[in-house]
This record gives sequence, structure tokens and C-alpha cells, in this order.
Amino acid sequence: MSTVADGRRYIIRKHLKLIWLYFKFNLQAAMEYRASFIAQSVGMFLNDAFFLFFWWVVFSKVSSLGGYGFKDIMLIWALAASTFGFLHIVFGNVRQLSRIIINGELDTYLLQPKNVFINVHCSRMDFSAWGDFIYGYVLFFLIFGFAPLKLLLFTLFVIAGGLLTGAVMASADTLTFHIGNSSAITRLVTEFLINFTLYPDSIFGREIKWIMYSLLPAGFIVFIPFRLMSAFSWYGLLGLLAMDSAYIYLVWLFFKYGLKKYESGNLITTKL
Amino acid sequence: MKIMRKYILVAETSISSNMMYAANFLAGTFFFALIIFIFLQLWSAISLNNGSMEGYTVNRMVWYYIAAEMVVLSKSDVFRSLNEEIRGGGIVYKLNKPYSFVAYQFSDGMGQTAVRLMANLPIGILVGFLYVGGLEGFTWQSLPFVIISVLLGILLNFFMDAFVGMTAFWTEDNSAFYWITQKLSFVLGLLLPLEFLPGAIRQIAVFLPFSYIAYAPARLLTSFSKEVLMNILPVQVFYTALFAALTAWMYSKGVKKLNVNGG
Repeated sequence: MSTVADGRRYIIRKHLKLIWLYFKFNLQAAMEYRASFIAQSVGMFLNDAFFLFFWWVVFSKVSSLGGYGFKDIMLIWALAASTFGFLHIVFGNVRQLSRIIINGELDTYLLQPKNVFINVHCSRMDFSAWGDFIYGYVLFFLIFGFAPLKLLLFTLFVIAGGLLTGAVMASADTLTFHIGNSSAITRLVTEFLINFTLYPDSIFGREIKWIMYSLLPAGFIVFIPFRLMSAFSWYGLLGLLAMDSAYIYLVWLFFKYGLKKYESGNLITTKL
Repeated sequence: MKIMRKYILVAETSISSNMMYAANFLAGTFFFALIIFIFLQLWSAISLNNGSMEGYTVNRMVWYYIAAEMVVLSKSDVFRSLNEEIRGGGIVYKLNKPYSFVAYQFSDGMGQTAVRLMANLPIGILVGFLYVGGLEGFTWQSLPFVIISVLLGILLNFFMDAFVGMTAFWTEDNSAFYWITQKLSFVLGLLLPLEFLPGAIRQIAVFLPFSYIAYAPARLLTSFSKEVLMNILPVQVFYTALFAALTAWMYSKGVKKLNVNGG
């Protein structure tokens, strides 16, 4: 028994190290083009900040929107921005999977002794995502000031939410194995997910909420974390993490199943 | 006319190649419907609290967003195209062809826009009628001016994107400029009518070009009057002509700096 557990621990450690190494090398690559990296990050930061202006104007007209105040919207944006930022920094290929499958570029990853699903996702970094990531933390400090426990909880939600978001997007991309090019579906899923995480869930009717808490789990990415940050409960936290893990595991199985249908394009590529 | 024929051919080619990507086409229209749906939910929730605001009822807000989003979502990919051509060096294969590079980009972009507009127009009208019914206070006499304003908004958006895209001649990465100009046009007229902005910001916004992309046609549609028309349409014409001239000027300056390695 212990041998199996040790083996699993070794595999997890090995893949965490892989993610860390990719992160380090991608960041070093970003630093080679420092001006571009800074311009992209600052641009994305300002891009997000414009939306706060929209909400500021809305809340200058109304005091509350479906039970949410301006500070609540700031927290929703903080969670959503850092979550999407984290995902695109660490797993920068998340929007490229469909293209990689179609072009037959998975061959390179299949030849390496690492989990293909993890390897393909974390081999790239989206530099502009640093702007999103930092923006979320700036909003956090504006709302809570220096609050170490809340900061820890916020970071945990950012990581868990990022992994769940990535899983949802990967599930749409995995359809490429079965139906050919599914990038339009991924684009649509991503747009739905982004938009459902950026507006208070109370403005939507029951049917939309069902979707937000099942198929497109925006509720588990932003709104449950939002509620747990206001009123923490261990049951809530464990339930959320269990739900995230189950979703991610199912998507991983779906990818594994789809991979059996993968057809190589015999494309010779160099991955540096 | 002979000169025009080649550019019409470029636009026709762009239309047929864009029609080939039916899935992307459908995804775009779904996205349009989704955005209008979210704004309907948002403003219904706000109006439940306070009734209508700044003269906008939920009905007028939804039609405002339909007109504004139609202009913005029908825009071409000219910024991305210019970036790829200039930074990737592909521009050199177009410079020795018997056409103007800027006019080629314009024809190609208008082909893309035509396809998107033809998809967004019926979807917008359908979504509007399904969500909130016909536009309150609509007058048929406003329609020709609204159409002109929509077309000017699309042209202004194109030339602003092309103007920013031309900065690729000088900068390593110009995406930040693009995001900022894009978001300025979002907050100054797309996400909110200018009437909602605080006084000082509204006064400044009226003099900036950004609100003449989406706000102008949407305002004309939802609040048509001769006064509104005279305040909006001449400024839209002015800014469209200005950015067309600036784009041509940027190209003439930038192309002299072009340095492409390899082949």
C-alpha cells in the first residue's frame, strides 16, 4: 500500500517540479523582452481598471444591485481577474489546445515521459495575464488592507478557481478529438464563463443559475469563494475543493479518452 | 472605376473566405446575443430598484446596447492583420503588388465587417424584439441617419484600429495601446450612454473620438431628434476623415523605416 502511495507522491512531486520549471523558463523568456512584457502587463491592468470605472458609475446611481454593493463587485473582480491571470500565467496553452491537436503538435508532448495533459498546458505563459493577476491582488489590498488569513484564503481560491476554469476550457477543447475543430465552442464557453463571473449572480434567473452551478461552473469559480470570504465555513471550503477536484478529474478522464482518438499529422516540430 | 475593381475583388475574396468559417461566425452571433442578455438582466435589476434612469428605460437600454454592440462586434481584425504583416515581414510581399497597401487592408477589413454585420443585424433585431419588444418612440425618419451613423461608427473604429496598428512600424509590442483605446471606446459610450457619466467626464468625452464609434449610432437610434443629429453626425464625419488621414500619414512615415531581414 505504502509503495503505491509513495509512487503517487513521487508522480505528483515530479509534475509540480515540471510546472515550476516551465514557469521559471517562461518567465526568463519574458524577461528577455522586458519592455514588451511590462507593456503587455500594464496594458492588461489598465484594461481591467476601465471596467471598475463602469461599476463606479453604476453604483453612483444605485446603492445596491441584487444585494451586492460596490465593494462586493470589487471583490468579485479581484477573484475573477487573479483567477484568470493565474490560469494563463501557469497554464498559458489553455486556449491553444484545440489548435495544437488539429496541427498534430501533440506528438512532441506524447514522446516526453510526463503527463500530456499537464505538460501541454503549462509549456507556455501568457505574459499579459500578469496584469490580470496583479490587478486582482491590488483590488484585494484596497478592500481588505493587509489581512494575512484572508490573503491566504484568497490565494487558495485563485489557484482552485484557476484550475477549475482551465478544466472547463480544456473540456471544450478536448471535443476536437471527437468532432474536429472545436475552437469556436471553446471561444463560446470561455466568453460565457468570463461574463458569468464578472456580473453579480443575483441578476440572473433560476435557469441561468443552474448552468452557472453545473455545466459552466462560474458559481464555483467566483461566487462560492466570494461568499466564503465574507462568511467562512470549513464545510463550505471542503465542499468547494471536493467539487473542483471532481470536475478536474472528470475532464482529465475525458482528455485521456479523447487522446486515444488522436491522429498524428507527422508534423516535425522543434520545441525549445 | 478600373482602379476600384481590384479593391472590390479584395473585399469579395474577404467576404467568401470569412463565410467559410461558419462555426466562428455562429459563435460570434451567440456572443452578441449573450452580451445583450446580460445587459438586459443587469438593467432590469437596476430598474427594479430605481425605475428608469437618465431617460433610459430597460427597453431603450436594450436597443441602445444592440446598436452599440452591433458596431463594435462587426469590426474587422485590421489591428491583428497589420501587426502580423508589419512585425512578421509579410508586408514586403504586398509592397511590390500593383495596389496600395492601406487600400488593400481597407478592402479586406470591409469584407470581414460586411459578413459580421450581415450576421449581427438580424440577430440584433430578433434579440431586441424577443427580449423587450419594439423600440419605444422609434420613428422611421430616423432610420436613414441611424444607418449612416452605424457605417461611420464602423469606419471610425476601423481607422482608429489601423492607426494604432501602424505603430507596429516603431514598437516591439503595441497591444497595450490597442487595449487602452479599445477600452476607452467601451467606457465612453459602449458600456454606458454618455448621459450616465459624471458631468466633467461627459464634457471631455464629447470632444474625444471614442464615443463616436458606438455611442453616436446608439444615441441616434434611441433618442432621435434634429438637435441630437446635428450634434453627432458632423463630428462623426470629422473624426472618421481625421483618422483616415492619420492612418495614411502613419503608413507613409512608417514604411520608410521598414527593415525586413531574411526572405
